Amino acid sequence: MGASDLKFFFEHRFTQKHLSTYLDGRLSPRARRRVERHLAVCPKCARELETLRATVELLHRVEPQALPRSFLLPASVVEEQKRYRRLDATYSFLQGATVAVALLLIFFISGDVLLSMGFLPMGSSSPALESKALSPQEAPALPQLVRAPESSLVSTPTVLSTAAEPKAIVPIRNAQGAESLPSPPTTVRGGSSPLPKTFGARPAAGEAVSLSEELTEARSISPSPVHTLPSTPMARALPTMLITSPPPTAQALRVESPPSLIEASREETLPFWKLWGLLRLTALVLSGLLLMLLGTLLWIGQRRRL
Amino acid sequence: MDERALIASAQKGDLNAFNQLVLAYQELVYNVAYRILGNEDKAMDATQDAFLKGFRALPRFRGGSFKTWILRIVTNCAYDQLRTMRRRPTTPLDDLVENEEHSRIFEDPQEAPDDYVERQELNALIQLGLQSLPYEQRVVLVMSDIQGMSYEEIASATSISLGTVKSRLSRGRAKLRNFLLAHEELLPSKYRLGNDKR
Repeated sequence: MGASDLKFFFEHRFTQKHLSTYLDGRLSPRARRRVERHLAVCPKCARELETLRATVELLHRVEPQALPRSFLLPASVVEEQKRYRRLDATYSFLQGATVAVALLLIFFISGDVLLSMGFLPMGSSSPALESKALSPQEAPALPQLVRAPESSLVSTPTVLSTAAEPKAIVPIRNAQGAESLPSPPTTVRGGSSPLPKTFGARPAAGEAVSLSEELTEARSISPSPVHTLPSTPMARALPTMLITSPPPTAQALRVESPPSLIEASREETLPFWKLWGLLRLTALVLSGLLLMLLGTLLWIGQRRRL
Repeated sequence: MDERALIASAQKGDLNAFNQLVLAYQELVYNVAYRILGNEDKAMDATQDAFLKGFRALPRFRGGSFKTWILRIVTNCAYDQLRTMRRRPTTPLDDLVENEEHSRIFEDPQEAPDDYVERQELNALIQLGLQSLPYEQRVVLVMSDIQGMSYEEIASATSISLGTVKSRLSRGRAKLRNFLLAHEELLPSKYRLGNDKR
């Protein structure tokens, strides 16, 4: 196929495509000239143009159908228009509500994702939790929490466990080797061995271990026995309380077994899991609401369709 | 009263104002519906539905051309009717007896009977050709070549772009031409395509 044949082929295709628009005089001057140049050399296209023109002329000849009847509307439709006006208002409101619910859902899902990835600061030492732990309403939950005299040597480490697990109450031997039963814990002012404060989302395993070591160390110097406290927010907040006891002396007590401390660290993760569950539940409820709204919108939209 | 004032009144619930608009557009709307559907009863239903929906939805009309707006509604109604017809195809008895009992041969006393017959044959064949087109091409062809609407009006009434109007019209015309050429023996001799060229 030569270059001229190829050019003819492209011009032929262009003309075939634009014959109808050319007939209506709606081609651009450049395209019109191009079509006319091709029509002059292509009898097939010229004939197609003529038959197309004849077809359009035939269509122009089609006479309008006489109206079989009048289509004037009866007076009863006025009420319908009012009803549809209300439907329109409802539709607009539902549209707004759907957008709001969708945005809320996005917010909650984002929160969930961020929380799962550890981007949100959550933990036992969060200000909210601290304030909760120190609220006066919860103070009576720990009647045993008393201030020891300044002369006391050591601070009492807190041992956290749930009330539902009485086995965590372990009698231990003091420095003199005497075994003692659990007694109310005490906190003592003074000293310089603060327990670590934890910041960030979820206490990591390493953090928990570190907390355990600290608590173990503190416990090892404590002459008082290890106790179990009820599982209250106050109890969960205790590890963060400032302990100002004097520096510990060595070989104080036999070390308490780590499991109760691990439970303590697990207790600290509870707020995270609670919030996470709450986020999931809210997102679930919002998803259901969104589906309902979309269904209603679809139904009303069908009725409003023109 | 001009059209805008009538629309404004009708939007406030003035049925008389809307009925004046109905009087102005009912012939156009009915003819578009009839050419799309090819059935008088269905076209009447589509037209009535279109005006009813138009009145209900008029508060949502935000200006522009009322003609293209009402035509958009009627094409949607015609499409609904078409779907109903496809689901439940029927042959109305009225159509079978109408031509015998209600012949329009006497509508124009000056027209020769042969001319009337030829005209009817032409209309019938064109209607058949239109029915053979896809719905979208048929709508554009009816609006452009039977109702004489501009490309812009068609684009507005069908909510498609100008380019789509052109391409649908081009393909629709080409298909209708091929249909008429294929059924040329059914066309009256004076209407045959390219008659003088042979």
